[in-house]
Amino acid sequence: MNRVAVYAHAPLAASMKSPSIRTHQIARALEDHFEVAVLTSLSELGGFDAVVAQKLPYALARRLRRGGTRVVYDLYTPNWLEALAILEAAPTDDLLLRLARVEAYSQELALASGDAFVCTSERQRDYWLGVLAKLGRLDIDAFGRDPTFRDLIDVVHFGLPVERPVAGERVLKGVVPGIDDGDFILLWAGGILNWTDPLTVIRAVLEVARSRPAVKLVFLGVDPADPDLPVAAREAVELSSSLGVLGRTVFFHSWVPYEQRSGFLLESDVGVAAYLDLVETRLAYRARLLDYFWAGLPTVTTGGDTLGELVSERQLGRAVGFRDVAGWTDAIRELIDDEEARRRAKENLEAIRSELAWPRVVEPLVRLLRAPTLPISRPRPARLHSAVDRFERLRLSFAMRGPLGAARAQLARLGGRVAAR
Amino acid sequence: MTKILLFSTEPVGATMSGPGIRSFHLAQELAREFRVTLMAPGAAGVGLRGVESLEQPRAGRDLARVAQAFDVVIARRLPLGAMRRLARSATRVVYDLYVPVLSEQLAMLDAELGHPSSVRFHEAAMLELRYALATGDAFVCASERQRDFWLGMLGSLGRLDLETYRRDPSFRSLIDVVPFGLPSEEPRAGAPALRGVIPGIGERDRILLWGGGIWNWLDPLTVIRAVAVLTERRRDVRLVFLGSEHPEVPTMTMASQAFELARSLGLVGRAVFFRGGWVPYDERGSYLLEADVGVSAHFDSLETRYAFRTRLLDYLWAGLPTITTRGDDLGDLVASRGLGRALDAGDVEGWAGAIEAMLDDEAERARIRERIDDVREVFTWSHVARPLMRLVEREGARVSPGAEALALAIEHLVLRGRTAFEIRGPVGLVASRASRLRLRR
Repeated sequence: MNRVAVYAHAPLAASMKSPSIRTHQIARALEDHFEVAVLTSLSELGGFDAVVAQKLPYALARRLRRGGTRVVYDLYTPNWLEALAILEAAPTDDLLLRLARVEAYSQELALASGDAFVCTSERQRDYWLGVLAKLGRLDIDAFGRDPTFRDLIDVVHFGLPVERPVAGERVLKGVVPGIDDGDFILLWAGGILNWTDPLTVIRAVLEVARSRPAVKLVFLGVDPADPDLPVAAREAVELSSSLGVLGRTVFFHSWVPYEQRSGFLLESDVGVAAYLDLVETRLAYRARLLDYFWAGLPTVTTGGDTLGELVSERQLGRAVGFRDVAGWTDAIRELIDDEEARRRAKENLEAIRSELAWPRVVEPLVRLLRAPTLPISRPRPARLHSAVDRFERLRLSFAMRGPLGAARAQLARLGGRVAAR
Repeated sequence: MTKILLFSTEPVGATMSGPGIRSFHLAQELAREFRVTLMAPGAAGVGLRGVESLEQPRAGRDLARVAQAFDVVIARRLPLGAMRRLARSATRVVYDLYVPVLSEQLAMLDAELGHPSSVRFHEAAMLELRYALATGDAFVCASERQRDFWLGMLGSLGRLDLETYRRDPSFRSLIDVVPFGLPSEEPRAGAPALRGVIPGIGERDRILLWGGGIWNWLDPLTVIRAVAVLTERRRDVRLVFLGSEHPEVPTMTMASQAFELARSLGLVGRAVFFRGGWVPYDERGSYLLEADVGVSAHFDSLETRYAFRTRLLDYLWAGLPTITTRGDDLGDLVASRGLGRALDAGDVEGWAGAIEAMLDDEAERARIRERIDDVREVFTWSHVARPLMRLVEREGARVSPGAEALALAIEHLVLRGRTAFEIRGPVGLVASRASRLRLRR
């Protein structure tokens, strides 16, 4: 086996979010072991020994498997749990809810039909094993071959780039009005999504700023003028402006291209991110924290998820309880005042950097790609879900486009399939 | 006052195994705030103050009828018929998922394979489990790791819905963690149980105690081999397997493998001892207090990842240093809190070294006893039962069994028919149907 296709939803681009970054980094790391092609078009996926994808249309995945291609899914995040966090804040919208359900079904179909899977943490693996159990994939035959099921699903952490961040032009200090050379910058990178808790951090920073005015909190990836801001981001902007600290202690900076992140990271002193106590929190993998690790930034974050626990276990900064303003205040003060603690955290971050380097974290995937392909006894639930999935998609398409549009879209899909053959 | 029916699948009384012990203590805790009735096989008064006892009816239909008179039913599992009726009634059902049924069964059946009905048995158990998950009002399990697994299964069954999320985005009101607890009273030494009682174990011997059954997913072989290594260097090591015969579980293949290995190494009755029978719950303190080290070992499998081995809690209770395999929840606790040693699966040399260190290093033994005292607080029954008390109190929205539940029930019926057919053949099947019909009249 040597030809592997990595399916990316979007081409390598300057402004990428973490799922795409992951895909492209995995592809690069696999190049040491296989002949790798990064493809953005579904129609080109045939003829490889194996395909790695975060998602694929079910029919295509089945065709690929029939053609002898091994299909390995990268389960980046449980779609349904993420959808819950997004839908919760929105008014009940039947269409959105159905769309989310379809996405969840698709992921379940992938689990029912894929040859093997990787996910981002041991906890997520537990969650996925639960889904796989329900789908009948954890059967006695499979247990007999491999009682750990590591041949079915293993962990590929979100990795760190091998090369170090490089400082370019100044981006914050002396550039953003209100941020000066001697300031102590806390960076919140990666935008404010609904399952994050920026308000606790803002309150803590304001408390600290009363005695240490040089402390500045910078949110990266939030444009206050954006009308479609997530609710949590809107609240953060409103709180800051109502307290009159916007542009003085708290700053919002719009999204920056992937390649330019390093400047922001290198000019900062501490990385911060706070989360709410949601089901998603326990299973989440916070890619933004990895940026802090990459840049050697001591990190303050909420405990409870995989990386939060890593922060406290390996002493990479401080892990604080949910909505614990006093805890945050203490943690920030300590890191400002105790230079020795910052230095120790930086040392510990060095060790983590090599453990989480992409070439190292993809090793389980390399093993799964090389494993022989075995037939999957297609369990009944998969068949049922496949039918439900198709029906739901059709209904959705109908609701969005009306009957004529739906028919046209179906025709176009069929046409595409014929052309692909 | 909320009326609770606690349904135990195993006897509660003098000779209890894990599930019985759990029912016993949960009944005791729940009775502090609720009216509790305990229903266990052959339960004619379990001697718990404030807890009523009820005989278990034979038929699922009768069970459901009795159970409907209660506000809440707490059960590990129920017959499918009872689950279906309760799902449609006003009675709330809280399922106790502390035994990771799936992974345990896989480990058991893997070794006992060859009988087609065992596969069917497994399929039926899985269907019943899915039915419970699809219709239960709330759930408890033994660890956060188990909870993540169950969340996956619940999510896949559509139980993590938006309305529930809006009320409680952590889903702790749907499923929470109730580990196992330790009794609040200290273990008491009774009559001598091992030293001077079992021939071959003398006053000055050092005892390694394997305090529970020998199941297929456990690895007594590594421990026996380590003891064999040690007997070449010293003569005082005694490994005792306590209670290899569970009152409700048939002897598993691994138990006889362990005995065979010990015999072929010439250790039986000299350094390795199998105490047959199951130790009465009240007497296990004597055994634990005579031991020097508690041991438990397992293989690296799915079972291990979700296991919660209560024998390790017994060791904590008696203040024994523990040597175990890493990878399960309590094994990781032993490692992270320094309560003994946690080793890789199958590491015979590591075991031999760890046993010697634990027996000979008095200072370390003292330090471990101190650390155990800190950990014990977390594992009192009154502390661990709290989430269950919350779930019982909570007036949750009723779950109405959906299409998924109906499909599962039909699938279960078909499976049962097929199994009966395979076991008895067509004629036997018809005959048994006919006799059942007659009985019903």
